[in-house]
Amino acid sequence: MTRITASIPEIRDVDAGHAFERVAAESAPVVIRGLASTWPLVQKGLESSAELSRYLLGFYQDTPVTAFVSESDIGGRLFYTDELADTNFRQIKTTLGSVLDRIRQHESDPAPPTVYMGSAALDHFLPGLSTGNSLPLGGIKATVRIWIGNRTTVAAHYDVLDNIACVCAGRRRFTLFPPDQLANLYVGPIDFTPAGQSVSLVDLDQPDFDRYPRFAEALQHAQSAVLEPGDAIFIPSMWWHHVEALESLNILINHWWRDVPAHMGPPGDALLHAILNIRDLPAAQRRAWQGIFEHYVFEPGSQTADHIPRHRRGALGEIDDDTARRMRALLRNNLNR
Amino acid sequence: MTRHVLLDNVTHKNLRVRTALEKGRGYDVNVVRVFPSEFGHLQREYPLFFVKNAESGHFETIALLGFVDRENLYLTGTGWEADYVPLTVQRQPFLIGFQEQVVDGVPRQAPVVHVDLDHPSVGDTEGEPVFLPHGGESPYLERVNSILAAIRQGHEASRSLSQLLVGLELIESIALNVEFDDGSKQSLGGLYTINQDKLRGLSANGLEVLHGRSHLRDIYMMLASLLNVKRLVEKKNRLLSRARGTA
Repeated sequence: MTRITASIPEIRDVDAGHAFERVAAESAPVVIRGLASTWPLVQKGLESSAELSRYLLGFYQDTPVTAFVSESDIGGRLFYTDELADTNFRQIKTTLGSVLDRIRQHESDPAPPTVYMGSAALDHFLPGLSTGNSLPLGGIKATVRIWIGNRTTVAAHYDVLDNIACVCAGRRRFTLFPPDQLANLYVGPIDFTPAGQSVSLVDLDQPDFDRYPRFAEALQHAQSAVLEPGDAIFIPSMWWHHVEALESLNILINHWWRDVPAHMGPPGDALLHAILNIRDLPAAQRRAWQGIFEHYVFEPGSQTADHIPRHRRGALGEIDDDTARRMRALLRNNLNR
Repeated sequence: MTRHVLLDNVTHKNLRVRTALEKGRGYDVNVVRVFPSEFGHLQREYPLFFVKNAESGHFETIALLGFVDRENLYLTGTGWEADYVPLTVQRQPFLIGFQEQVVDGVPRQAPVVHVDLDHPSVGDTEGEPVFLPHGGESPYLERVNSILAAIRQGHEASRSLSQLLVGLELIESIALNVEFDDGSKQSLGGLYTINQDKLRGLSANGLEVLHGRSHLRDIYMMLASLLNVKRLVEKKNRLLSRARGTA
């Protein structure tokens, strides 16, 4: 078991109605104790798993759900098989009732078969549950998701969106690494991932330092916290997070959002495009492009386009919906070759 | 035989399709599925009917191409003799499949392109390339995509039309009896059309419902298309007389 000594900073007594404003001031992760403690879902969970299950199913309208399942031998670590040949779990279409039954049947089993239903849109699968069991969004356009499972581990990965995640039942340990630890985390494929995001290939519980020596450095920058029912965590966009669900039944509701214009697509698309068109250029050309990206993308400023008449700045000026449309059409056309 | 697989630009990078409509290439059928959006073109050349789908029990719109199984009188030694070719013929060897995609945590069935690898028009040496040299979509594939999209919309329009007509009891079975120049006779069962007496007796309310969903136009085009049965008989007669001439 790897010891992470640094703790994630904590705050408490945050009014749920101001949670998004409160974290907007933060650029680093923070644990918010008790943010969701009054939610009915949290209260039911403290009563019993049977109560919790009944309460949840009261909102369920038989919409088929996708669950990840596996045998107990993976120890709940949703990952790859040897040599990344495949994922070590399979996806099944089932019902929420069956997911909860599978979990509860093995409640006292120290090594249960893995059951995990992740990232399901709350309003789609459990309409009405979000009332009183999620943060008031105010003007924030957040997508609210529910995660239900038994003892599971999801290897460190980042998300593009800012995240406030609330533990509703069970306990979860979050281990976080800053975005700049990328190289020390030995991140796996970007086009074959366990659940949509690239993950660290290092087993945090038993790191193989011979194979992954730089991971020792990553651990120097790690911080962790265990969240109890009702606790929440703010995970800023792009922070690596390794998440362990620690009890026989764990439920999490999270809020993902980002405050950018609607015409902006996933940054990962640009990465893929750059890998395709820039990475394999001769070194001198690649360096020149590095400068160009610095100039136009990473450090835009007065020297980028102030010398161009405003009406001719196009993609170098402020991007409005029409400019975004033109850029999209050009890219789409150029990609089709 | 068919072998439908999801089309992708790696596995099928060299795929080509012979687009010429020729005999022996999977087009030898006497009935094709058609959709209201193409009735305007179709009614000038093909007789249009309803048939009952054996599985679903729903009525579907079809164009009649011949009088016996595998007889396509529009398909001749020089190709498809008609100004307009139905979408479900143009789409071949491609078809619409569905794949679950999760968008914002919500699963949805997204339409995807499948190809029948056993279709006689499919190969990797002649015909239109499906993909561009680096994996982009060829103009041919873009055209196929728009045909498949039109077919998807067509299924909905066809369902709406038949449901409405069933509700108004306007569909009746029709016995098609034809006689050819050589004295042989043919009767076709399983075809349905519009009951014209009931159509004439339809209430203003019923007419308004039909008109409101643009189906009044569809109905009259289906009725007008029945004149093409005569055209089809003539095609068959020409075929029979040529056969006698060469015998």
